[in-house]
Formats: sequence, C-alpha cells, structure tokens
Amino acid sequence: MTYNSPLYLFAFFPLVLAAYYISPQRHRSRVLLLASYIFFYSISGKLLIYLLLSTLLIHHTGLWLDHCRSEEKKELAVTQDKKASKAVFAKKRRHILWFGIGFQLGILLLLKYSNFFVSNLNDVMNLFSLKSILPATHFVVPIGISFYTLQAVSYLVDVYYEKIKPDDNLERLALYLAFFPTLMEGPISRYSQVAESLYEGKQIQYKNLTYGLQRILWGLFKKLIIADRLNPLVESIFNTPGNYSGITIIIGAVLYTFQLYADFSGCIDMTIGAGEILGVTIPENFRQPFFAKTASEFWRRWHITLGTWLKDYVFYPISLTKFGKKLGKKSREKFGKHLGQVLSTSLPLFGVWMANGFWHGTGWHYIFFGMYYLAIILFENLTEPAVVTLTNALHINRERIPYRIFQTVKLLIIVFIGELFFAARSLSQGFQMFASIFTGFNWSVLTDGSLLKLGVSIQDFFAVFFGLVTLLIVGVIHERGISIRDRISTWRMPARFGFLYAAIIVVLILGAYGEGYLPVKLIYAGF
Amino acid sequence: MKINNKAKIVLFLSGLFILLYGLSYVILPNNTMDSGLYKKTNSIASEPENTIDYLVIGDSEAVSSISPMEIWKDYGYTGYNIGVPGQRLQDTYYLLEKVLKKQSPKIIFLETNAFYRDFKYLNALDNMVDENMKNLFPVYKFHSNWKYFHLNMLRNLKDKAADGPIVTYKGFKYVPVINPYKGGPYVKESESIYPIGDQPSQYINNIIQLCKDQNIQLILYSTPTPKNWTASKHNSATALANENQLKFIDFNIMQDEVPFDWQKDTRDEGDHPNYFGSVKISNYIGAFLAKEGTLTDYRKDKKYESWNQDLIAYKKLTKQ
Repeated sequence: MTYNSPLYLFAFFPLVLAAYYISPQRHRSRVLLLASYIFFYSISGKLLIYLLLSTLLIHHTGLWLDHCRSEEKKELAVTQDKKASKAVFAKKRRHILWFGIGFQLGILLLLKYSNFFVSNLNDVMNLFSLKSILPATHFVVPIGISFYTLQAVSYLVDVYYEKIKPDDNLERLALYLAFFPTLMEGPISRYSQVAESLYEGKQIQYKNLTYGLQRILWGLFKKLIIADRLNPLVESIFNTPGNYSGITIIIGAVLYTFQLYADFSGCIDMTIGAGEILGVTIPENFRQPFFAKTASEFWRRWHITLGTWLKDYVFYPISLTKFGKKLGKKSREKFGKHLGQVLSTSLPLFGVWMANGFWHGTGWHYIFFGMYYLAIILFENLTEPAVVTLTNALHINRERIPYRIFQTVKLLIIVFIGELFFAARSLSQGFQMFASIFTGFNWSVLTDGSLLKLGVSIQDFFAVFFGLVTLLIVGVIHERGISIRDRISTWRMPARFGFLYAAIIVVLILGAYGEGYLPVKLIYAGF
Repeated sequence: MKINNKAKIVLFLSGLFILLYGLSYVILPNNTMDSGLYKKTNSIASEPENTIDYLVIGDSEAVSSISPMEIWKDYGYTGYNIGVPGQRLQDTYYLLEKVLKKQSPKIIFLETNAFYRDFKYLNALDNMVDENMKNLFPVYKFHSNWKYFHLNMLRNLKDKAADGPIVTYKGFKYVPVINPYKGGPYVKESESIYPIGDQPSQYINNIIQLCKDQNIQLILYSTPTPKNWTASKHNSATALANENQLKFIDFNIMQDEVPFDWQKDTRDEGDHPNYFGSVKISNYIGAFLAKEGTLTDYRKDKKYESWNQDLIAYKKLTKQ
C-alpha cells in the first residue's frame, strides 16, 4: 500500500477519515495511531517492532533526561560546590543523550548500513589477499526508518537542549513517530511542529477538507502524469547505460531529475494534504527548487526538512565543538574574514554533506553525490566576492533577466550532473555514463525516433510536457507568493466545481497507472 | 442562496459521479466486455463471440513471446494473447474468468514467470478495490485509450463502425528493439526446486480448475529469459505440470529446437524476447498446435476475413 495505490486512496484513507470523523475527540488520536500501525504493518509486517522499540526508547530517554534535570535542581539546592555538581549532571545528561541517539542510529546502521560496511571491509581484506572476515547479511529494512529515526534523534536533542519538554504521554509520542502520511517519505517534522496538533484530534473542517483534497490531487498529478510516465524511459537508460551515450544520457539525467522532483514532491503534497484535512500543519519540503540562483539556495528549497535537520543537528553541533570554534577563530585570524569564514564552515559542511550522501543509501555514488555538492557550495562561497567584483566591473545587473537565465542554466547543469550520479547504480557506472556523454554525442537521436523506443511513446511525451508546463506555471505563481487555492476558494461555486472536475479528469485520463503499467514505487521510500 | 457545506460536498460528489459515469459511457467502451468507441483498439472484448480457439495468458513474458498473427499466417488458428505486463496470477485468473464468458478456447497457454511473483493478501485487497473502481467507472480502467483517440472514432457513436487504429495485434505488441544479452550460457543443471508461494499456488490451482470445468487443455510454457529463468524454477514448474498432468514447454532448455540468438532476439538484455525472438517461439507453438490437431484452420473461412485484413497490416508493420 502506497499513497497512490487504489487501496489507500479509495479505501484506507477514506475509512480512516470516516472513523476519525465519527469518533469522539478524545479518541481521535487513537484512531490515527491505530491506522498508522496498520499502515506500517501492511508494508513492513513484523518489523513494526523496530518502530515500537524506537518509540519506547525515546519516551524513556526523554523522561530520563528530565528526571536527571530535576535531580540536579534538588542537588543544587543543597550542595555547596554547585559548579562541580553541575558538571557531574551535565556529563550524566550527555551520556543519556548519547545512549538514546546511539540506540536509534545503531538500529539504523545495523539494518541499513551493516552490509555496506561489511562488503567494503571484505573488499579491503581481499585487496590484501586476505579472506573475507565477515559474512554479508541483508536485513529487511522497515519502511520509513531513515525518516522516523531522524525525527527520534531531533526529539532527544531538543529535549536535551530544553527546546521542548519531554513528553510523558506515550501515545502522543508514538503518533509523532508513526503518523501514516509521513511514514514513507517524511517530511522530517519536529516534535514541536506537529505533535500537539496530531494529538488534539481537531474536527474536520470544510475548508481543511477541500484544501487538503486539492493538495492530494496536485500530488497525484505530479506523481502519475510526470513521474510514473517517465519511469520506463529513465529505467531503460539507467538499467542498461552501456547501450546509450551522448544526448540520450543527458536526456536520461534531465528526465530523471524531473521524475524525482515530481515523485518526491508529489508524495509530499499528498502527505501535507492528508495532514491539512486532519488539521495538522506538516512542514513544507519543497519551494520551487529550480528557481534557485545557487546550489546552496537549491538545497534550501529542495528536501527542506532534511536540510534544516542537518543544519540543526550536524552543522551547528560541529561548529560549536571546541575544535570547530578554534578552527573558526584561527582561520579568520590567518586568512581574513571571508576566506576564514569559508574555511571554518568547511568542516561542519563536510559533516552535513557526508551525512546527506550517506543518509540516501549505501552506495559510494551517494557519498560522491554529497561530496559533489560540498565542493560546489564551497566553491560558490569562495568565489562569491570575486563574482560580485567581476559583474560590477562588467556593469552586469545581477537582478536582470539575462543574468538570472545564466544562473538558472548553470544551476540546472549542476543539478542534472548531480542527479546522474545519484541515479546511477554505482559510482563507476556514474562516471561511465558521464564520460559517454562526450564520447558518443550524436544529435540524430532527437530525430531518428530512437527515443520513442525506450518505453515512452509520443503521447507519453505529450502528457509529460503538459505536466511540466503546468508545474512551471504553478511554480511561477507560487514564487510570486500567490496561493492558488485561496484564489480558487473566492470563485463562485460552479466555476470552482468546474475547475476541480477538470483537474480530476486530467489526472484520471493522463495518469500512468492501471493495465499496461507496472506500479512505480515511491522513489524516496527506498531511502 | 446559501448552501451549507455538507450539501456542497454531496453536490460536488454527485456531479463527479455523473461526470465520471458519463465520461465512461461516451468516450470509452461502455462496459468491460462490450465494444464501444475503441472497438478495434486494444482488447479481446472486441472479438466476436466464440471465435478465439486458443489463449495466451500470463505477464510480460507472455505478451512478448507469442504473436497470434504469426500463427494465423502459417496455420490459420485463431488465438489471442491476453497477457498483461507485471500481472499477478490472481489478476490473470480473474481476467481469464471474464474472457471465458464470451470465448470458448480449446487450448490455453499459461506462461510460468508469474508463478514466482509472490504477493501478499494486501495486494489482493488492493486489486479488489481497483477492480471495483474499474467496474464502477470504466473510465478509470480504459483511461489510457486517450492515446489512441482518433477523430474517426466519433463516427462510432452514431453508426457503431470501428475505424480506430490498431495498436496491438491480437494482444501482441510489436517491439523490434534489440538490446543483446551478453551473459553467455545460462542453462545450468540443478536439483533444487524453487518454491511457489501460497497465493500464486492458489491461483494456479484456480486456473487449472477453471480449465477443467470448461474442458480446456491447459499448457504451461516458459519464455526464454536468462534474466528470470533458473533451473530450480524449471524443476518446480515441471513438478507442478507432472502433478496436474499438464504439458510443459520450457523454451529455456530447447536451444536446439528453438535456437535463440541472444545478440538479436531480446529487447532488454535477456529479460524479454523482442519481435524477432517472438517469431521463433510463435513458429514453434504453431507447429505444436498443428501436431495436437485440435484446432481448425480458418484462413479460407469468410467469417474470419478480418483476420486476413489484419494480417496485411501486420505484415506491413513487421516488414514481412
């Protein structure tokens, strides 16, 4: 069951809404929790135990941290040596935090990454003609573990830093980790953002219902018309890259990027829409990423919640370590303000991009993907003053359209290359594909019909083109700060209904699903 | 006039139901087994009653392996390939059940690849919801027909003529793409038996029973596919065939009789045959059917003239 499967759309979700609607307010969170566990079980079966274990653990660890703080207060009230006592309790709390984080990340590492470590270790051993020392074991990974683990860690760290109070309500905490619309692909929400409204059990309001359903429909539009329709072509190219070169590889990388965006952001639309209906404001995960001017801005608009998570729980903690602070100070002293600043952020940025690459999966191409963006962002930061000087000297207005087009084209090239390596099945395949762009360049593939032999017909291309143009128009409108749904809500009822009927029919007719189509898995659910 | 929110929801849903039902009725085939605007496009639904003597069922390995037009050309037997890519056996069973209400084939070829695609009961539930939606709103099922829309079809509304373009030939899709398989010989002997899951087993038994009830000869066959085939799968399919006294043709181990050229006969590096591979399989199946002697050659029968017309178009398409 996925968010775009008939079972979810026509049975599970409507039934959950109906049960939620008719239940007394105090039981509504239980309806959601039960539905979430059923949803989880339907995909990962008995692996539900891992989610339950994580829930119990963060509940207990949070309360333990709180207990430790209460003990500290009591101690400080009676002790003479307050400084020593504070240090003892600070250390104890730190240990508790690391125990909690270690346990959460330990499960993730064991299930998702152990095989990667073992196989690499064995490769190294074989390199020195030694026998493989560990057997490679494939664990079945529970759905959403990469997402809910990050939520669990953020909860513990926020409790540790007293940004939030530990929750003694196990049910609320359980719902925060397991809420079914966010289980498969996030977004990675914070406890302070969603837990209270999830637990509150608000009545379903007409406006929320209509807005939420419209958002779900928009998600289906992206997923079914763009992402799933492009899938056969993308799969053909990335499954058998040796058969293609030049323009075909470029088209593969470009269309994979659009597929990924439509798939992931479409799923997030469905998630946020489901949340809206239930009165829960789930954080946005995308903000017109292709309108960014630089790679770092792109990442502030793409998978926003992962970016902010990495900023809060990797970048800042590394920057604020003794070593990080010292590095910053020394760099600024030795290399001046700008270069020093860039150098001092390079260490925490390394942590961020290493974690970003590694989070996506167990392949060296993911690590490369992270390092690729690290290098580009550092380069951007480093050259920014020079670019400003140069454009000023050449009297180029950086806010005008020609320069914006240059920035967009530059960014798109960066993103497409990044996604080529991201989508490749291995790092070596990524390099081979990248090299083959230059070795087998041939314009004729655009006209000789060979693109139509990759599982996507001319009609499919038409549907995708229609979808992408719509996406662009909606993006421009959103970029101007206009809420399309607010506008629609001001229309008269016949116009409103007519627009929605048309939207439903478009998704229904142009969507790639049903007979002749293999169901396409949500891409990020695999990470 | 102020309409309250509940009334708005009811009004909206009523309008949507009417629209979807209307769209199903006007633009697409009226019902799953009735012909409509897309009479000649893509479905066995458009074949006259009791005119199909053999069927090919299964997943993409079925769709890409047997071309009924090749067999018609040489032997005059009427067959239809109703394989569906990625199809699970439960769907195969339900589709077969539906088709057998209108057709009474004497022989059915069941491709074995789907035997090893296990599915959870949840998928069955998903499928049930899906089927109900399709029955309720045929537009949901036939939505992809927009691809084949042709202005001539509008005439069909009036006079029921069928001028739609033919996109598949008796269920077989022409794919001449060549992507060679470079892996070398893949047939290895083994004693192991690949287990067939509970749910596929159940639906294999259902299909066997359905064929028995309707007095149809069921034949199992495996398309040559280095990517999916293993000796242990051969062993389990053989055991199943023996247990149920069914004939089993495994093209993976018939390189001498049906010599596959892996440089030319596959469209995706050994996952599926392309058109050239399918011709070899179809030729063998045609000869096999002739040997069985249960089917009739209709090439000179005027009732089947449309098959000869289709053959002309098919030959043009396949450059024969």
